[in-house]
Amino acid sequence: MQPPHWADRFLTWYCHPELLDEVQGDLHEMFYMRLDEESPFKARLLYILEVLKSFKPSNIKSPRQGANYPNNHMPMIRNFLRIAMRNLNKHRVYTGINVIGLALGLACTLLITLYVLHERSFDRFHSKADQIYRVNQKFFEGSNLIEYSASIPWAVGPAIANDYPDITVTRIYQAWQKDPLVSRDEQSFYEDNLFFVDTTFLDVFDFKFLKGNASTALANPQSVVLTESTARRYFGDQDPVNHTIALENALDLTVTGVVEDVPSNSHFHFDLLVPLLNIGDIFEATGNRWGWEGWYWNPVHTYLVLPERYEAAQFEKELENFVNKNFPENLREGNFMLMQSLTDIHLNSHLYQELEVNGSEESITIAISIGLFILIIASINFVNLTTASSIQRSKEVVVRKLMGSSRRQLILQFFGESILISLISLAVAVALVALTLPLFERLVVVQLNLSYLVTVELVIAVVCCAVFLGIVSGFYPALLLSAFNPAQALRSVIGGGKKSLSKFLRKLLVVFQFAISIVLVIAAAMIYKQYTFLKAKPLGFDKEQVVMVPIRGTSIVERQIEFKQRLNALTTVISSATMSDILGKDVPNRPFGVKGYESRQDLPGLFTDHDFLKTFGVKLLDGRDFNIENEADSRALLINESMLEVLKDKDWEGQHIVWGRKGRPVIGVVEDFNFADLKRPIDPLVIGFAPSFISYCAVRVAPGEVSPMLAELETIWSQFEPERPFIPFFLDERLNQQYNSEQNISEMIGYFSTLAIFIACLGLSGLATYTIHNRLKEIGIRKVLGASIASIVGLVSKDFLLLVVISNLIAWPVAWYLMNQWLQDFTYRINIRWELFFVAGAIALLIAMITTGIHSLRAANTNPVNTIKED
Amino acid sequence: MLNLGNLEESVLLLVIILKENAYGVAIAQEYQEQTGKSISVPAIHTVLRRLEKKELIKSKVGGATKERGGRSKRIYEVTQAGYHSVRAIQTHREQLWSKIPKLSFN
Repeated sequence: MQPPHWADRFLTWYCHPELLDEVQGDLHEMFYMRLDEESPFKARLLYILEVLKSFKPSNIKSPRQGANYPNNHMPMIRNFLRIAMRNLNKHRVYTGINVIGLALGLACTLLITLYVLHERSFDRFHSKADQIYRVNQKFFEGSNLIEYSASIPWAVGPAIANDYPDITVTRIYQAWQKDPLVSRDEQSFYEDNLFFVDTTFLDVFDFKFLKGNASTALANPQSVVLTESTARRYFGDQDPVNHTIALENALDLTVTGVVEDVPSNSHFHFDLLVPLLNIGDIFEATGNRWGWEGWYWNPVHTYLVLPERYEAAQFEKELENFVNKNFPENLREGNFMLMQSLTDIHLNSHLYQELEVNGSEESITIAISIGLFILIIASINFVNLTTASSIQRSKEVVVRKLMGSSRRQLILQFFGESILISLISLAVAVALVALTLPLFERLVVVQLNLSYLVTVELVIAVVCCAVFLGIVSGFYPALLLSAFNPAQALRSVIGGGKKSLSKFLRKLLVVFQFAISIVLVIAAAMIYKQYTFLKAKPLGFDKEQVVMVPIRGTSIVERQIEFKQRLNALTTVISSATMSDILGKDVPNRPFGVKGYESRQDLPGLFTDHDFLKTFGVKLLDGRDFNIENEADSRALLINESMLEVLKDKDWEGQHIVWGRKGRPVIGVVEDFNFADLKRPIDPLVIGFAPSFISYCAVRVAPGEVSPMLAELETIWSQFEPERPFIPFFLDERLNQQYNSEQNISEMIGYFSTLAIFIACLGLSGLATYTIHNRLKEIGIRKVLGASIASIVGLVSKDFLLLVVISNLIAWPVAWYLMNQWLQDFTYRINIRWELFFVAGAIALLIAMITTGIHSLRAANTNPVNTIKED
Repeated sequence: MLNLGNLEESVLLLVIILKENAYGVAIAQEYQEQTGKSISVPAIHTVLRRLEKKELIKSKVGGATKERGGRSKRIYEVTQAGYHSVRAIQTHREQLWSKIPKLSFN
């Protein structure tokens, strides 16, 4: 009968060698003593118990306490470090390539991380961010969703505040369709970011006051709060508090406070805040015709702070009762008020009437996947290069082994080296990020505020990530090298035929790298092509050579005819038309009465004048154009082809469409043209006269006469509106801006795919060196036997090029699938063309050929004497 | 004076008493015999390590027996400091006792 074997082994394992005899001996003695008195089971049980009881610090062996020999760890680690530095220094090119590859990868990933963190940090700086919700409106007609809007009617906010006294409500109203004019002394600006807000605005949102008092700043109806940079624009370095600025040259506002500029991670950016208290006066001053207390017109963004006792979903239910209680009877049906969390707005809200263009979860996903891909490529590279360079150190490993180094120590050494490289790379990457940050910001069109993005957690995470990368990348070389059999290694036949698995693994990694790079290149090219296609696509009207002059809110709206007469008299002007919206950007839905339908149909309605077709070169298909001579034509309508489908019997002649209270005759049909952006198909369109809706005057300029015409136009403008700045814009430029964000994404992918290919080539180069190193003797013998340099280069390169070809075969279907998915979102899209795939593949192949060619050429040129003299 | 726990004091006394035979198992048995309370060998080991660290006892490698599977014992021996410290405790206690008046508990 003996004590349990495993317990004994456990004891031997943990116990300090010096104490082992005593402890084990004593326990055994007790065990045998107990065997005489008790049952064997109990004796064994007690033995186990005592082994466990002995497992305490005073008995456990620790490296510090030292065995019988003196502690030698520190000099060893110092030696590792010294050898590592010497090695890095000796193979400077290798180290350089390795560090550059990894640093580039890390820098990309860091930039992308910053971008993603920025996008995710939106609106979180408000102290009540988790409790703030925006109320959105969904409007159904029957089962058709008519409008899903971020803004809601005027009266909803105050009514909620009235019905639920513990909820703080605030509203934002941004002057609709027209930028208010603000002036001080001689300077005046159109302030498109002037927000009219409830006095509770600063109770809901947190903005830091530099001057003035947050609690009283908006209390007075005639006050205004400026942001820091706006204040500088009007007042320079002067203290603006208690000075006045004029709104629309009609209303004096006293500056009561200056706040810090709105951070870039906010879903709205105001420049001026004016209390909504005197909105009546403001409407008076800006000539707005709609009421501001109604339940129908919905231009107001309404936010509320939900007390903890409510759940958002529960309160949404509550709002159903609210709609039935408060809305006028005719507006209750199909009218829903929905809650949206403040922090959700930036990434997940793409509603009608957003305050600003929001970001999208999609672009974040794209960014994260690119970042991950590049990081993967870079680490694969790191593995390949480290492996390649470490085989040259087999002798060092062997000598270490012969000197008594344990496998664990060797693994530790190689881990240490790769961690060292990854930390150096991280330092380089951080420097790269600092250098390229402005460029990157331009690329993704965001401003990254490092002061709140870079936190201690992030720094720790990044360093940990780099160390982790070092461990992962060092893993393979460490295991491979430490497993060397000294006898074999000294004969330098490492990595020969036997290690086919590891060879395969490395090849797989290279294929993977190239496949990712090729997919990225194809994606970048396709996205670029798609947007060039959209920009160049004929819209069905001439967007070139058209100058748009915003006239809404000016006296020119009332004097349109006179203004146009003056314009048309100019020799530089071909024709001009006043209109309600920017053609090619968006034409809003307006309620028209169409025969055969019970209720009003919300259809895009463009208001313009009789020169519209001529100015934009829109073709008339049937019927006739508006005629200036014919007085009745100012009440007539034109429709587009698609509108024919809506009309009864698909026939226009003799049909009337109701606008306002009167039916208006349809006098002609125009060819379909893209009046909204190209992501959407062409909808039905009604074109008519309504002078009060006019916002712009579009002027077609004679070729080559743009600058004289602009000068003349400004002269005329100042005769009509001497007080207001003249700010025209070119239609084609404005329309092209619509695709800027998408084009930026393609540019970003473009840059990153170039980088990916570059890094992949570094990896390929590493693999080539490694393989060629192993085949040096073979090459030498071949040369001795009379092989030509060309045949050797071919022999060696062949394998690698095969890898790139395989990568292509993998990448093409993947890229095809991804791009096909992406293109589905577009109404107008390019066909996927195979040439593009071939070109991308050929580029990758060519670059790979050059990379391996250099290495194999060098190998082919070595003197056989040097390579085969050993052994 | 070094701070000595109750168990530490007992074990130290046992080491003195057992002289040449003062090793883990023997101390544990003697302890049980003298106090009537059982104690495990690992517990004794812990106390011995602590005493050794305080330099109240020292140890040397002793003989091996068959039951021990040929493993040598570790024999503990009191140091001068150890002897003085238990002695001091005793003296201190005697001083205190000498001052205690005769009490009757009725």
